[in-house]
Amino acid sequence: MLRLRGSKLNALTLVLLLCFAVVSVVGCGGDQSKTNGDQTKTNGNQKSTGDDVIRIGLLYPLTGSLAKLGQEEQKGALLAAELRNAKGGINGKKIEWVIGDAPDPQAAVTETERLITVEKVDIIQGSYSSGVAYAASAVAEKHKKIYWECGGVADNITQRGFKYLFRFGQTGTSNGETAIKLVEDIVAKELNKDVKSLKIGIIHEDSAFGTSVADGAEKYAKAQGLNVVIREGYSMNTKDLSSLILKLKKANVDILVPTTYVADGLLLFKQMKELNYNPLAVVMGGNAIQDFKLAMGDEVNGLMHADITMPRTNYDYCPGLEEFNKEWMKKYNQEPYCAHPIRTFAGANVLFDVIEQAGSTDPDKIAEVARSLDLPYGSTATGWGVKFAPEGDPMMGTNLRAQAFGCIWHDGNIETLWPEEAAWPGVKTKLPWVR
Amino acid sequence: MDVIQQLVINGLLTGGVFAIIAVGLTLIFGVMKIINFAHGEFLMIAMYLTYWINVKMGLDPFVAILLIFPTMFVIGIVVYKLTLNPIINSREELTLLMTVALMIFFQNLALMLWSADVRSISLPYSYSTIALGNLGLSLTKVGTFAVTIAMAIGLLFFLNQSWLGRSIRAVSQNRDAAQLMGVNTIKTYMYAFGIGIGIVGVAGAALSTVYGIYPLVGQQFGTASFVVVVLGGLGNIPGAILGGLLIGLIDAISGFVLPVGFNEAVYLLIFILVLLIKPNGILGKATAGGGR
Repeated sequence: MLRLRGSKLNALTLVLLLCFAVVSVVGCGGDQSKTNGDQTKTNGNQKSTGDDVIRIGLLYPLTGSLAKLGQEEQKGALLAAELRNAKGGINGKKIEWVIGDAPDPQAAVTETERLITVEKVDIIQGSYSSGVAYAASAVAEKHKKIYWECGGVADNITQRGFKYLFRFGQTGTSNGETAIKLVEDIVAKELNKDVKSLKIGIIHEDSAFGTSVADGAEKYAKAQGLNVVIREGYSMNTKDLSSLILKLKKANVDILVPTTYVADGLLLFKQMKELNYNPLAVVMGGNAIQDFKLAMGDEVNGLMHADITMPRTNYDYCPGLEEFNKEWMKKYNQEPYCAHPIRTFAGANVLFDVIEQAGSTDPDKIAEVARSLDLPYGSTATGWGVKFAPEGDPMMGTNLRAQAFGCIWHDGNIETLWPEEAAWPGVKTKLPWVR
Repeated sequence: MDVIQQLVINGLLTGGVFAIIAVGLTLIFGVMKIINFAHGEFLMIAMYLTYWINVKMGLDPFVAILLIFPTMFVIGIVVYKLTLNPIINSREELTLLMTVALMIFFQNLALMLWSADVRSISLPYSYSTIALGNLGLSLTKVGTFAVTIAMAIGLLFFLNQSWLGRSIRAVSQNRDAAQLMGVNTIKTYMYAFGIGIGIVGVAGAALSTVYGIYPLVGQQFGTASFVVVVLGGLGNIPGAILGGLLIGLIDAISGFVLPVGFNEAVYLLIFILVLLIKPNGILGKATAGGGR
């Protein structure tokens, strides 16, 4: 027995404390085996012989506060490899993901070091979170290894002139711009109003994600001569948005462009209803996810988002999307929670094509091939093209042919409605958005 | 003018939310000098329990309070006995670290068991408002406020009128003297902790009607609860309520007058000022010698 100044720590308590500790640690690494799917054997302890497999690092937040969407994005990549392997892999070799868990930027740094120095991968795909992406890619660049970013939208990820970093996905600025384009092309037209007469309010959670989207929206709106009357950020952990909503009400904001995460988004809609604030339309700067429908039921119909390509997007414009939807349904027996796995799925497929063309995973060869790609819009499962900003460009490494699409809740489903080529057949707007 | 009135009402209602969480926290600190970093996580557990009760049994969260209080009370006692009781007599840093460990443990346990999905309880009155002239008061927040007041009254009654309540107060004033009066301090600590957790459990049940539920929801209230508790005076229950209302008001008004992002900065600034001018909090008194 240990004695601590008069108290006794007996064996039972010690055992129980140990159990607590074990559960904590397990909780931190808990879900990896679930999301590994077929890759359970490849959890990093086996070093490949190199000849019959292609090992690629896969770094996402699988635990912690970003776990939900981190896991969803990872699933998209896992599915892409599964399907490609079923078709013979890359140049006859099977793809093998080497899994990493990055719940926050600090963990991202250590995990990236581990994947590169211990697991010896040449390429890492990630990351969902902009914070994780920013940190992890810096480590990869230091080691001169490829970082294939399919998720983080913060503009500054690709503003560092990194040679080995490629961002397949759209930027936060694109989300913001698309939101305003939706207001111009769709909302103003349907409401039969001059878009410059509408009062626009841009609110956002104040981390890198929300801020970059809001910046993009504000900049574009002002360039188009639109009337932005309010632009404000708030903490995503806020307990109360009523003051902000009262401000919007007082300023008679007609079109609300909020960029939120889930909990604050739900709080916003709840309090808007309580305070009887009903703008003509709401166009969110991202996060078109099922939670909104679960909380709001039928009232969600008419809510619009500028976001990644949704499952219900014109299949002709998005080669591979139909297959993705089918396989996802087969595997998970439900529709995707959000569009994020589609982006990682499409991005992973582009990566596989690049590896195939390069003939190896040598980072310099991969970088060369990637930068040489010149695919038009309508080439990938997200409907995007591929052309990475070249050396010398301030956004070197970002995909210039990726943009947020506009989507809307219609009959309980999210359907793409903008651009026109990508629109889901039969999609309808609901303006003004009356709840 | 309408706007000011609406702001004040909103502020007071939000303040009720802070107050209800702070009451349990201040009780635990006042009695046992334990800074319970896991307080928000007990709130989270209670919210999840309320959610499952609502989903499986169809019980309204406010009715579920009757089940939640005893359940969280027992959970509080069990956790206390297993983790805090063995180290209660050692340095305060150890109990603090233990509560931090509990915080991390519970967050990850919830993440593991229930995933990171945000869940909401939909009630027929989730969006209802009570009209007061031109103003709208959120019904769920009014309910929470009513629960806070009822609980505070009940607690004060208990602390003044019952033997256990008086022992708790005695122990918080001077533990050794209380022991001399025949109070079993070990049991008293245990019950006090249990009651503190039971109270935050009631808070969780009420708040599940207002907020989304996810493993890290306890963090949302973390900083604000500590500010409220210190502002009202550590161990002072009316102080916790007053502090809560004050912070709620400051939060609402500053959010309207200044960019909303400055909210926390404003009330933290006021918090610093209070600490400099009146460190024992608004209602706190200078503690008499003794204590432990």
